[in-house]
Amino acid sequence: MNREFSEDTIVAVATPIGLGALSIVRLSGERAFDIVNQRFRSNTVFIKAKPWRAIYGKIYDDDQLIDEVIVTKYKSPYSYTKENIVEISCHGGSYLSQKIVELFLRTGARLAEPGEFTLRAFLNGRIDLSQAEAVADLIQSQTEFGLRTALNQLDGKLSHTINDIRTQLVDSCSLLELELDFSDEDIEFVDRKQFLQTLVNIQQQLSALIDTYKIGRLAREGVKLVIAGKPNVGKSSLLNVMAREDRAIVTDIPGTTRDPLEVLLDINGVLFRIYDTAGITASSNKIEQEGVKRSLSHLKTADIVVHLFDGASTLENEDIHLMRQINEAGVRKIFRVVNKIDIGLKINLSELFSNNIDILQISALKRIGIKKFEQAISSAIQNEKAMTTGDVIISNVRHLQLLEKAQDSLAKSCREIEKDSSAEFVALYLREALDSLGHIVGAVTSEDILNNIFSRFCIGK
Amino acid sequence: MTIDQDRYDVIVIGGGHAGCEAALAAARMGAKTLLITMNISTIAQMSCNPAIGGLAKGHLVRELDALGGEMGKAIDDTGIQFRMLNKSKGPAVWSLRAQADRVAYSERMRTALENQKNIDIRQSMVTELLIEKDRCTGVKTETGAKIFGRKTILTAGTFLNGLVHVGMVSYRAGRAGEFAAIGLTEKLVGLGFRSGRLKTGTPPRIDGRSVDFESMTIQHGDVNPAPFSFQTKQLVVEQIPCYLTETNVNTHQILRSGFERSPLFSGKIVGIGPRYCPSIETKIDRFFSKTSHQLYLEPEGRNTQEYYLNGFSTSLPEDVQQKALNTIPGLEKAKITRLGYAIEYDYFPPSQIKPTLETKQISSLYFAGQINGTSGYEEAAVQGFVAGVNAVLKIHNQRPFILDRSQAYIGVLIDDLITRDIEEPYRMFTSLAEHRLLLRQDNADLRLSMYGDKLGLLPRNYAAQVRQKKEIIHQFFEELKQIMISPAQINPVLHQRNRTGISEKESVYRLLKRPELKLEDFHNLIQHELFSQNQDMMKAVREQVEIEIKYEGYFKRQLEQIEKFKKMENRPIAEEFDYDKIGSLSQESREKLKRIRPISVGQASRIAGVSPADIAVLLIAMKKFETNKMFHVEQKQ
Repeated sequence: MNREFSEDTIVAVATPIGLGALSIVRLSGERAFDIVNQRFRSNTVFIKAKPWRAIYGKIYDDDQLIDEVIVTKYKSPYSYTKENIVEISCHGGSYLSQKIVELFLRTGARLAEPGEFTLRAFLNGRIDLSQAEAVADLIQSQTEFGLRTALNQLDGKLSHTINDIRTQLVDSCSLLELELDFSDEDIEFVDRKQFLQTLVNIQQQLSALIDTYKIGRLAREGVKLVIAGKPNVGKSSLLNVMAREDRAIVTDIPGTTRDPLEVLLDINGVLFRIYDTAGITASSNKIEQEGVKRSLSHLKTADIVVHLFDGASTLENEDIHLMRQINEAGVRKIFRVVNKIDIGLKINLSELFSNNIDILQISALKRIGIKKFEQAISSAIQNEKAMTTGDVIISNVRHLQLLEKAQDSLAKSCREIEKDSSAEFVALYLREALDSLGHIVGAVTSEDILNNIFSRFCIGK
Repeated sequence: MTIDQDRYDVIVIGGGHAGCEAALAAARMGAKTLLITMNISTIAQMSCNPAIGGLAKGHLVRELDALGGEMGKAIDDTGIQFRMLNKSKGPAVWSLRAQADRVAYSERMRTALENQKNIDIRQSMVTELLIEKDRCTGVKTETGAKIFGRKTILTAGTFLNGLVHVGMVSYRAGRAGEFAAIGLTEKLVGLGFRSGRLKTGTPPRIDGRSVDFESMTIQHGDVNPAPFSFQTKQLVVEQIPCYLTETNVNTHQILRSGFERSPLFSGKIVGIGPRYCPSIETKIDRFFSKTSHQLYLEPEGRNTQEYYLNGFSTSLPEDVQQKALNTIPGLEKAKITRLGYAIEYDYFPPSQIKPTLETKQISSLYFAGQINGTSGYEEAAVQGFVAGVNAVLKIHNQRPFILDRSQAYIGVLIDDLITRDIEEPYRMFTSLAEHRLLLRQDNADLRLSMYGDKLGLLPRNYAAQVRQKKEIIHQFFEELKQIMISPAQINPVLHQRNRTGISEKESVYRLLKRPELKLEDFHNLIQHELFSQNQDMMKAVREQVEIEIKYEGYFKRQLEQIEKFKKMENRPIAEEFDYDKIGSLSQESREKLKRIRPISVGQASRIAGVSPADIAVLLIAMKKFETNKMFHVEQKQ
């Protein structure tokens, strides 16, 4: 398990987790400037900007604005770690700072280990010995604490799940190594098709685990629910019904509300961020076009879309157009909700039937079916959680990163099998995957693989 | 009596595969060397199967050869069947294996020793080491003679307290028919060494005149056999076949009937045996649903009728061995010439040695081969070589010769020995080498001959030739990017192989990346020096260029992995480093680090039980240590 401590660029939230007016995200390492430069837009050219001065600007994920920030460059060696450092002051709350960290993880930084900034400061000769001793203890205690909590948390179910996947991978690796190291033995080797199926199966388990991160995030940060529908179908009425006074959530903490159209609601214990979209219609009006564009981008990032229909009229082209757009947006959960059922049902419900899409009937005005509707949306997320991996949830970004790395390696090994490559090339990537998982639960060695071979196969001609 | 009128630079105890390479390397580096063996007639004896190489082991032999060892040349001269294994796989896992003429091999090695300047050979048993203040200064023999040497290399094989088992009969022996070495283990334990007990076994040998070969499957050698040694220009050999047969339920039933008289199952044998090479009784016991096991009859030599029955290693009683044998197709009337047996022997868990193979406890004393818990001739030979080289380097106060895991299988082997807790006989596997795509047997000369040259162990001009070869490979690799092939030229070949053709000109380099095309396909399409057949080197160059182009992507990935690996490997930990001074190390890590004393942070991170957090803590402490040291130096000035 090799780990470099000063060669790569690390990132972490430097301020305590919790609510506060500001959070600071810090990057340290050779590529710190370069990484931030890819995501930061400002009137000042970041790369050329003078160090040790505050620069105002915005952090973007591609075209999506994340936050307005103040950024400070510290040029090596005059910084806390003696490396290039960038500090980003963003709005407070864990949501935004986590989001910015995740963004930089995708841009080439690695999540800092506990105490790693201080560790680097020490290794680079920036702080003195007594301080470093404290760091050493800190690293040890935090890691042990981290490990203990990780183990206690979820009753050790996370490590159990990962170990289970690892065991399957070790099994697969063993089959490959068997072909390579024991090809002169009297043993039947594995059928490639079957083998590929096993790997695809493992991939699915990994995906399910990775998805739980998103679900974990939903629990922490709220479920994005978008109400869509043609004009005058009753979107505002529905939102008003849902937004009872006792559900109001204080939204004046900077950074918690990202959009003036967003309404935060606690429905049956689930935090929802609800958006009422402008009608999505083909329009030549410039302002309307802008609205449509924004609505579409909301659809794409929604966790749940509630598509509202007018029950008192038959299905219109506009409805069908929107149904298609919602489908194309790749939304995880869609509800088709028929409103105005108190007036009399004219709509042909069979036209709304589709796989995995629930159809509900309400009257926002007369408050009919609202309770059932709220039950449905609040349990949708929980159901999904149960569908994935029981009660194991990935909540740690480092774990997520390693799982994604493993997933990527696994995909590469599948490609090798499809190309009919020799076993050692498949093994190259499979062992990478195994290493990544090993980093979550503890070390992995080739011994595991050999032990497995010896216990399962009759070796020794 | 003291034999010190000619005091030695290096004394090698043991004339097996480790001992021979150790003595040859030391003498070739100019050291006055003594090889002491209990029996000169069994120098370089193959105690088990008459073969050299095999999967991953073939890599070791090639590497040893590239460094200037003897094994490759010896087997080229005395092999009676050569096969390249794993040919259907990628080049990284191809491996050469040869059947040897047991007697001829032994003689060939003895000749090499006798023809080598600087080597004395002496038959005697060493019973004691001469120790002065934790330093080994020589040996004492069973007859009381004291022989002084600046460095001593102990290659005891299975001889230390060797105990042979056949059924319920057991007797002291170093090998069937040879004396065990008694007393030395106890002396070493007295010096503070930890010893352990291992077990290995060997199958019965059979009289070929009593075998019905007609009812067995014949297995021939390769049509164009490849030599082990890069220096062997051409292998001219008349090859002898092996034969395949298998056990059946009858065999198993008879073997089972002998289980109550099995030393293995009755608890008589306490040593741990190799799981990759179990006895036949272990196989039928553990994998009871398997109704037959493959067996190979391997010739013991050109001038003998004796055959080695590979796969039938056993320590069951004599009558059971004989009866079970006669149930096997082709062996119905087989006569045993030598019984199968198990042997227990002492080893010294190798966390007690350094990467130079010098012991941590006693300086100037080196351990190599089975004494370190390995099995196999090849594993032993490379250790002997490394010990011999390092003994001489140390005499001259030169930097030690240490290969790391990214450079050679030899590096993997020694790193595993000194880092892991070896509790069963250790054998080389390709899966143990995490960078195996680059550590191929075909490029061992390109990887390692510069080291052999620097040590003075290779013929004059040889390294220059390899350097030239390297340059040509690189040059041609680049040139093939420029040479363009038109669709008209290559499409007929592609269509003939049911592949889609190309529509535009493409470079040979690009085309070679297609699995269906080989460099040979371009022979008639382009004019290039690559195909000038008359040059000896060109065949090897073509092979390398093709491999390098075809697998370039994977190799790059491995190089990236190696670069990461090197970062931690290049952080040395001082030998005198005091782990007790680091408060925040976990207890388990501290104990292991103190015992194993890793030479680098990389090695430390491979110790089971040492966590990434421990490594971080260690890095901090190291920095502190360095700062302190600098401080002291300044003060002194």
